Amino acid sequence: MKNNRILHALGDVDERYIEEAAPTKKKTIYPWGFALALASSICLILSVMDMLSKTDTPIEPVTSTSLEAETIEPVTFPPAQITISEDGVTIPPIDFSEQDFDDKNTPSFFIYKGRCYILLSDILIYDNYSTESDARTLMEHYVGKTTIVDIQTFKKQPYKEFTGTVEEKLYTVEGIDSSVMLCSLSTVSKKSSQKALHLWFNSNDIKLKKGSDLFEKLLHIKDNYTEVTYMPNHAYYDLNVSSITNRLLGQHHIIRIKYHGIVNRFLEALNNGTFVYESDVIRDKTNNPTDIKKYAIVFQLKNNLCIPLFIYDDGFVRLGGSCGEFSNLLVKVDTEAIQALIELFFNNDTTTITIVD
Amino acid sequence: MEDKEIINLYFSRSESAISETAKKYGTYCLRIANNILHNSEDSEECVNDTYMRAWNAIPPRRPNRLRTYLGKITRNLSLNKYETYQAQKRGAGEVTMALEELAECIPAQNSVEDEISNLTLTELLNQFLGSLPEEPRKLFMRRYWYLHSTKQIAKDFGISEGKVKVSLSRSRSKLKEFLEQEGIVL
Repeated sequence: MKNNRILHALGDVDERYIEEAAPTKKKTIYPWGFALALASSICLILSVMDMLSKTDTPIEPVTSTSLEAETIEPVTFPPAQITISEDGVTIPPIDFSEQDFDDKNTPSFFIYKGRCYILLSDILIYDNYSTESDARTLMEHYVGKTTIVDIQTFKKQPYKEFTGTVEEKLYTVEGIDSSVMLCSLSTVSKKSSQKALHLWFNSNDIKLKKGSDLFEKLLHIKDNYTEVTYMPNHAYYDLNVSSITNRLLGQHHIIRIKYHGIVNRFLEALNNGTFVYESDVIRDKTNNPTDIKKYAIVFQLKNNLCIPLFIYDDGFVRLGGSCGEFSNLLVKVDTEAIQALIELFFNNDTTTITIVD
Repeated sequence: MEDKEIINLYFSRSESAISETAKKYGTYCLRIANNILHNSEDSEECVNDTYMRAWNAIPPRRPNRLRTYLGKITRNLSLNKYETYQAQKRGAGEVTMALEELAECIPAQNSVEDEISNLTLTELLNQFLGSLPEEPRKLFMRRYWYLHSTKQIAKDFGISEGKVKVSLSRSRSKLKEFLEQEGIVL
């Protein structure tokens, strides 16, 4: 049904069009509502007069600004339009010229030196690290030696140079160019003592043709990984950042493999693979996406950085934790290399830790 | 609870992420599903599936707007369910009517052009929507994204049902013309 296609394609249109047409809640006006409102107003006036008579504390005037603050609509993160040509995938720099940003919104990115850093992953840390030196120790444990990039310097930049909600200090990641990745440490919420380590990845203004353009030239996996870990199938639904934390803290069952021939062959195939946009791929199991099995492995680098990859049994690989347009990019990888890796890791029923040098 | 806090609950794999989502956006999702399915039991099932999809997708995804993100999932699930039912029996409803209306937008077959991908079609629809003035665009989206009846739209926008129909008809003609200009074959 051709008209079905329009209806379905319409489902994925720009969020701002969906938002602006969204039904709004309407207040029901009851016949007695006006009298009730009048009575309330009188009570309020009496209360204020009573308060004024008892205290000298000045009352904050209600300004138009404070009223408007309640009706501010969140901004839309501008999608960078990915273009695909014979030269590969191009993610252009975001054009902010016509965007109106409010740094209260859209927490998952910020702009620095014209580059847009998106949130690659959170690693939740359950312990309470209260001091700066504790935080530094923690950062060095997980990400390697770090260098503080003073956020205050960021804030002095013109407004368009900084947006998003990164309030915490930023750090560079050892071994990774700061134009590619930065990290930060923050408290999860006001009520919680949990800390979260955020990895920020610049996915804009880059061109990707082969897998090596990302995994080798930017992330340097092949020559720097110290071990590969993975979750057994039964832990599939636990596969998330907190599980990665558990793995780091040694609380999760895991199998580690070092420098295995099959892993290296997989990396070679990954580096030689080509980038494709997920929506453009006609997959063999499209009728039932759940038929496509997804596995996750994590490459730990010398600097302790963890690079999660999702591997699909129909021959595709995606960088785990990626978001925005970037999350729709897959690398088409030689199926044999993937199958060998799956066979090595996931079709192995052993529950003991195996280390292969 | 703020969206950011709800998303953090998903990231920390706290099951309260689901209950907080349901509390804040359950009604919104249920309305979308119900406009398509007109069956409360099926609608609730779709909304529950929406939560499960969100649970499986976040992380790694971090939606910029949780409401729209959930709405899209609900709409897709509801349309799929609707189509499954339609394969078994034909029935009336807003989707059927919307589909009949949208059939007007399909350009005549052109054997030279290749069939376009859904991605391209969505991009073209974005361009088309961007070219519409604000009110006709809102009416178009309310009708074909939210699948509201013209009567309901007229009530919500405080205009006559006739005006809604005229606006929709003009937008459909413009869409057909736009797709033809782009040489689109569906």
